Amino acid sequence: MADDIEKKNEMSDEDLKKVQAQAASKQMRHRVDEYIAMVIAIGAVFLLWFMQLIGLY
Amino acid sequence: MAQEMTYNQVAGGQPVVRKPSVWSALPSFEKSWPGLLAMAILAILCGLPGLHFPLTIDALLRYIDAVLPPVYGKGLFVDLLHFNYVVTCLVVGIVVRNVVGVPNSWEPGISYSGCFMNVGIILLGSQYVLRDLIKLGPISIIVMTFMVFGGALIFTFMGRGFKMGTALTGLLAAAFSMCGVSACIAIAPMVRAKSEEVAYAMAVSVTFGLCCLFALPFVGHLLHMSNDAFGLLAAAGVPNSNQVIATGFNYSFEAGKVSGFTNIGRLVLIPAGVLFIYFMTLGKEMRTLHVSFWEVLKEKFPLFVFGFAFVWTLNCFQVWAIPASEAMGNVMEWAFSLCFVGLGLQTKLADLRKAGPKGIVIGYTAGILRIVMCLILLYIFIAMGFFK
Repeated sequence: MADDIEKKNEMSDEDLKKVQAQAASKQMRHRVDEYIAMVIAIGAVFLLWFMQLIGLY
Repeated sequence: MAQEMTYNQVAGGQPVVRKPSVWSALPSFEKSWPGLLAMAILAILCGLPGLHFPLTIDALLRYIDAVLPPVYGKGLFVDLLHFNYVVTCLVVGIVVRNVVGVPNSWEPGISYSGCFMNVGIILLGSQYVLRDLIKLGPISIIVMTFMVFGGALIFTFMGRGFKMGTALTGLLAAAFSMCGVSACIAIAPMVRAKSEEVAYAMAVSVTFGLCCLFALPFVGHLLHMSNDAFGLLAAAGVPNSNQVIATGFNYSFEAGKVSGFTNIGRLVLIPAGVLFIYFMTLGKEMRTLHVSFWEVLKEKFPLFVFGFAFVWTLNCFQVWAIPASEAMGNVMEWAFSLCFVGLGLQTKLADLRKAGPKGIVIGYTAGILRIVMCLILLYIFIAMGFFK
């Protein structure tokens, strides 16, 4: 009985670690997506601004 | 193991854990290009706004509408079923995923759909001026604050009533009140959720958002809601950010802009919302984790909001002329189109089964309650003359 409880606790700890790792990697991916989005969007804005300056718009 | 740890022996003999670079979370271009290319081709085939390519599904639907006899005096696809580029992109994505199937090589590229949503939101700044912020800002802050914390309370009480368990209650409250899948994953370790509970809560929020995406615009048309009111309703009622924007644009272009703008308010509230749910769902004796507000703020605050603020500030000072602003609007719609195709390609209809009857009863009931609560709040504001 005690062995069963210990085994269950170990399994639950392992699962929690898995969830923590998943959350950490997802959080990291979110941050990178934000950086890339800022580069693309602000890059597009400056490109269109430049095109306006050279008389295309 | 998601994070790769590198241990270096230092002079003292103690191992030093070198934190992996944030860029390691990104799939390489070599792995991503098939998915990105597939998304771009599907988006062009659906009919990108501002790009006059004749062989598109959008053109085909308009042709069918012109050829078929009108239904109730209207075209079937465009006028009655409100097929626009949003619905077309989503439906094509869903059909490809669930009927044809998506090869594994597409998966890394499809995962960029969230990134395209951020690009679209930042470029949304080029469509707003100061008077829009004055008109929408205070109302959206009040509605979002009320919906994030009020929605979390609804889920907490329903979770306790149905004896759902603290972890699942916290997950569903985060998923529905804030930002769907992202909020769900963010709060999972804090409420000590099991992996199957996380998957379950995600399935419930994604499928509810999918139902809202198609059903809510019909409700809006039925209630003759203005673009501003519907944009607010979409941002407050739909769980996932990309589904929020898709629901808004599904109603109208203006409503899409409002929902994208208002959704920023909800994203900014994520750190406070996560802490609120943590303290609401877990009893004092169960709060084993040391939670620091600044740590949560640093980790969960959406940085791309600064990008939106930067573009919006330049637009307020009229740095560029109207044609350039229109071109930025087109780029914004292209980014959203790619996001919607990606969203469709990620939508597995089998998740509806995964959500199960209990999830549908509790999650959907609480989700509908939130929408009704938001409608009441909006009608109070309309009656008070704050907006139309």
